[in-house]
Amino acid sequence: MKKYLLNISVLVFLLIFQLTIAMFFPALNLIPDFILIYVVIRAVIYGAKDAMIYGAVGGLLQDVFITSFIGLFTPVKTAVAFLAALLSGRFFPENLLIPPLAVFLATIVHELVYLMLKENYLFAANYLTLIKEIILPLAAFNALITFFVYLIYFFWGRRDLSGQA
Amino acid sequence: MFNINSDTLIAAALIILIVLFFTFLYFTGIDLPIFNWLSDLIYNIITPVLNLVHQFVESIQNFFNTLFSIDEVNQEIKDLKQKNSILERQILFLENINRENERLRRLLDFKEKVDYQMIGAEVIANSPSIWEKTITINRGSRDGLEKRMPVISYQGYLVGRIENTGLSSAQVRLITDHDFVVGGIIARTDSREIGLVKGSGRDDQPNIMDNIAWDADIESGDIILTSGLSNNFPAGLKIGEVANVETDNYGLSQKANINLLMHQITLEEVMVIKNFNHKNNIQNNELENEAEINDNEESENNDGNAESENI
Repeated sequence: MKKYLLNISVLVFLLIFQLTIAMFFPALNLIPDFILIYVVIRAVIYGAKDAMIYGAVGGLLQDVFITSFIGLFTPVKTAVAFLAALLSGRFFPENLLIPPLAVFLATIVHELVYLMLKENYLFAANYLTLIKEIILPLAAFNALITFFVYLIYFFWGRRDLSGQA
Repeated sequence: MFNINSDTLIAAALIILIVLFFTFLYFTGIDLPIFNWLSDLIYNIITPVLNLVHQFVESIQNFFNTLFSIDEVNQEIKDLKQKNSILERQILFLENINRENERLRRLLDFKEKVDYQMIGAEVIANSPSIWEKTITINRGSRDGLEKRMPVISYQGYLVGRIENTGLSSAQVRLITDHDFVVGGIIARTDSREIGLVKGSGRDDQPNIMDNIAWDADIESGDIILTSGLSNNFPAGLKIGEVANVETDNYGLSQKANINLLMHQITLEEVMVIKNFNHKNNIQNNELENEAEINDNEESENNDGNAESENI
C-alpha cells in the first residue's frame, strides 16, 4: 500500500511539474510527457502489471486536467505501458540506451493512438506534418530526458548495491 | 518470444477490462455522478498546490527582478508617478465627458450599453498535453464562474471559454484549441461578413475562418470580432487579423487564415465575463431590427404616398 501511495504521489508531482513547466520555461513549445516517461521506465524495469496500474492512474490524473475523470489518456497510457513492458527483463541495466529508445517509440505510439481516438483529429489531421513537426521532436525530447533520468537512477542504484557512499 | 507469467496476464487482463469499461463510458458519454465527484475531488486537491507553486515561482521571480533592477525600478517609479498625475487629470476630464454622454443618451433615449461584469484571474497552469490547448486559472465556482463563460485578455482579445470549474480554479479552453469554434464578423464599415473561426490546434499556426460567402468582401488586414450570433460569446470581442484569403469548397465559399491577437501577448492574467446574457442581447438586437424595419416601412410608405401624390 505504501509503495502505491508513494508512486501515486510521484505521479501527482510529475503532473504538477508538467502543468507548470511552461511557467518556468515560457519559450518551450513542446511539453514533455513526464508521466509517460515515468510509466515507460517502470514498465521496462518492473514489468507489465506495475506499469499498467501507474499508466492508468497517470492517464486518469492527466484526463482530469483536460476533460473529465475518464478521457483518452487513461486507455492510451495503459496500452502503451503494456507494450513497453514487453522489453522488461530483456536487456542489461547497463545498457543506458534501451530506456530512452523505449520512451522514444512509446511517445510516437502514444501520440498517434491518441490522435486516432480523438474524433476531431482523426480525419482532419495531416499526420505526416504532425509527425514531422510535433511527434518526432517530442519523442526525441522525451528520450533525452529519459536518458538523464535513467542515468541518475542507474548510478544511484549501483551506489546502493555496492554499499559505498 | 516474450515470457509473461500467468499472474501478470491475469492482472493485465483485469486492468484492460477496467480501462475498456472506462473507455466505453467515455465514448458513450454516460455521466456517472461518482466519477464526476472523483474528478472534482482530484481537481480540487491538485489545483491549490498549483496555486502555491504559481505564487512561489512568482515571488522568486519578483525577488530576483527587483534585486537585479533596482535602478530601473526607481526610474520606473518616477515615470509612473508622472504618468499617474497626467492620468488623474485625464480621469477628471473624462468624468465630465461621461456625465455629458449620459445626459445626451437620456435626452436621445438611447439604450445603455451593457457593461459586462468581469473578474480578473491569474493563469496558474498550462495544458498537460500538446494536443489540448487549455489553461488553468485561479478562480472557480466559489467566485461565481460557470461553464462556457467567455474569457478575454486585459486588452480585450478573446482568449477562450470556461470548460470546467473547480472550487477555486477553472479550466479554460483556448481559442487555439482544435475543438474551439466561434462566430466571427469582419469589423469594417463597408463589410460585415460573417464566418466561423476555428482553432488550428497549434500555437505556431493561424486559426481558420471558414464558411465565408463566396462573394464576401474580405481582405488581408481586416480585423475579426466575435459576431455574437451564438449564445456563447458577446458581440464585439477582438479575435484576430486576416492574414490571407483563399477560395474553399471548389469556389462555393471562402476561408481565411486569422492571426490571433492573443499571440501578441503573454498569457499571464485573463478576465472572465461573468454576466453575459445572450437573451438580453438578442432582445435588444430584435428590438433594434424591428425599429429599423418600422423605420424602413414608414419611409417606404412615405415614398409611396409621395409618389401617389405626384401621380
